[in-house]
Amino acid sequence: MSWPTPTASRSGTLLKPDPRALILAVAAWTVLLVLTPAPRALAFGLAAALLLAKALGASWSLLARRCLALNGFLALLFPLMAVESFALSAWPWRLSPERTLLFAAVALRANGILLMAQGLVAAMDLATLGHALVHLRCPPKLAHLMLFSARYLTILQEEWTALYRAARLRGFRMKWGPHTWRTLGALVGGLVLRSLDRAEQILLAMKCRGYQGQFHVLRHFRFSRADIVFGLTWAAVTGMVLVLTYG
Amino acid sequence: MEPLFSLADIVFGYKSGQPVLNGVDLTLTPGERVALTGPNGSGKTTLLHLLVGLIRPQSGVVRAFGRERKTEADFRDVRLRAGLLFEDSDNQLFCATVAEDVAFGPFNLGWARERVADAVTAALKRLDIAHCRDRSPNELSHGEKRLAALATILAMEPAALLLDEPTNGLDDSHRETLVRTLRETECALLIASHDRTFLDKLACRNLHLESGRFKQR
Amino acid sequence: MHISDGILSPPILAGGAVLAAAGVAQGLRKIRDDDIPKTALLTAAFFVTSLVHIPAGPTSVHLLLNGLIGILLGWAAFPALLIGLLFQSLLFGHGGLSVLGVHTATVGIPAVAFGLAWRRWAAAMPPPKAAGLAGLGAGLCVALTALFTATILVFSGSHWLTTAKAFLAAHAVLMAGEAFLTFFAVAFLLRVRPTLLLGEAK
Ligand SMILES: Nc1ncnc2c1ncn2[C@@H]1O[C@H](COP(=O)(O)OP(=O)(O)OP(=O)(O)O)[C@@H](O)[C@H]1O
Ligand SMILES: [Mg+2]
Repeated sequence: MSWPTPTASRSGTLLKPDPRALILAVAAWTVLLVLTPAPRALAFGLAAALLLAKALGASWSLLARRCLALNGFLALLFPLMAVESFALSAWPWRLSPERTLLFAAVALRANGILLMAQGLVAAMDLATLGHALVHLRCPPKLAHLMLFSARYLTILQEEWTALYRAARLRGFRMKWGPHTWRTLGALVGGLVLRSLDRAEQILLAMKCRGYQGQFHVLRHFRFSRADIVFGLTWAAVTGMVLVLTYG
Repeated sequence: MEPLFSLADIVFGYKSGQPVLNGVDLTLTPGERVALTGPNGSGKTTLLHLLVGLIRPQSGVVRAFGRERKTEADFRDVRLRAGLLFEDSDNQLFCATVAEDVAFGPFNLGWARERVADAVTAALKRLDIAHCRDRSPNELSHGEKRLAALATILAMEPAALLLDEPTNGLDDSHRETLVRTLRETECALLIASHDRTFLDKLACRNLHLESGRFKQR
Repeated sequence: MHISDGILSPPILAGGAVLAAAGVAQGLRKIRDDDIPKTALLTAAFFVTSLVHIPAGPTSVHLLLNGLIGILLGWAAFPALLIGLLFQSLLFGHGGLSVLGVHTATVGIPAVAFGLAWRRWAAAMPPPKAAGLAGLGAGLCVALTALFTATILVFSGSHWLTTAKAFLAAHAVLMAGEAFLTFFAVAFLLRVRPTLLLGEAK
């Protein structure tokens, strides 16, 4: 398993906005789509989000993988929502046209938000995201908690893999049943214990360097011409969504 | 010369079981280099942690930088003046980038931003890991992590370095860098290690810990 | 299992965001400076365990563990969950950005309520009983999360009624599993580190 990293190369991307601008844009985009009911505006939004995500450097394979997860979930929901009644007397069960249209809006909206968010992921790693959040006046404790847990994701993932592998070597197979839950309980307990022990050592290491509740961020960001390009693009797309909704 | 550290008749045991250290005396004078050896589990790490007050002895006296140290508050400035390199680098590198990690200590010393930036650059350069500056500790090799962890304490300009197995995971060329850097510093060195050849290149005095005491060899 | 973006109505999303913000703010207030590494590492640990999939018939379920999170983190569970859910939605596309607040609230409220209660009650119990209570509570936390989510779905439109029922059914299965899991995990932790869970009750 690999997590996005600070050095993820971003050469060959059209848009290189300041991370703060991108975070704000994604947040506003999410609100915009949530408040947009019209399917044609949502369809436009989806297409625009796809282009923006590409321009921000998202690869086709990344977008495909993320969309697959989401749309698998939506495919599961579709019959549940769009069939008016599952009563035996209503057999053969039929899709209701109004509900199908409603569902189309849901699917377009969900994909539109997801694609824009993946543009953000493609453009920055979790560390940059955390640093940008600090500069955006997110509560510092929250931002630093986020940075801190992002730092240890890989390590704890490895510790989990080691625990799990040890269980497998002793014949554990994941299948539904009390034995699985019991083993998983021990594994989760083991992971919690390791996390707490490590946290204790980390705190000691922090105290050794004079920790008294303060964190400082070295990285600063500066708005540049790229942000104007990005801002104008984003504003144009947003304007178009609004026109298609209310025009 | 006034010693940086002196321990007198230290007894320490973890909650369960018998004492790990049982009557240990030690002095470390400015600029001195001491090797701390002993079998696994003999208490080397424990001793280093005692010196900076991460654990407290059941009996005995810890003196550091001219004063007896007993409470958490006593030890706060000891930790800023004596840099401890932890056995596991991952626990010492907790920030998002190497540069930020190296800057953490200097910022807590209250240095100005420019001075911190200079100290970061200098420390990374001294250890030949300037190229790791903006990378996440996650992406470093084992040896690079070791050196980055050392950089985090070197940047604070300590008077003493307490190093717990510093050569773990280092290849020959990084080991040379480490030897060179440690030779250049004027810090007192207390090095817990199993690496004989490394210790021979640096240390002048050897303390061998066995069954809770220092043994002559 | 998470609800994706696009489903819930704006007032419900806003309500969830407000509740989550209040919980997170209180959580941040309760986290002392020295608790930051512990909170962060547990956040990462629970993110890792949430990726574990257990085969269940034709599909699979993944762990929620909000009972255990509440027990270990108390109020700090709110920020921990928010961060974990953010990572899930960014790194895997599970859940979604607009539902972050709702998810944090539906998962976090039972977690924190039960976690605080458990810490108080379990302090006076022998370990097996404390672990048993943890297991029961963990099952209850999953049930409450499912119930909240189903209710919210129905309030977002009557056309989500069948989905809400399916959601409840899926979680009934998970509920039993998590109750067992948490029982064993807490029993294990109380055995190897008796001070760990109960020492913090004070
Ligand atoms: N946190 C702890 N709780 C209980 N016992 C501990 C703890 N840490 C260390 N010990 C025990 O104390 C003894 C000394 O451990 P220490 O880590 O100081 O040894 P060491 O000389 O550094 O060994 P190594 O060469 O393996 O690093 C060991 O027997 C160990 O099991
Ligand atoms: Mg050791």
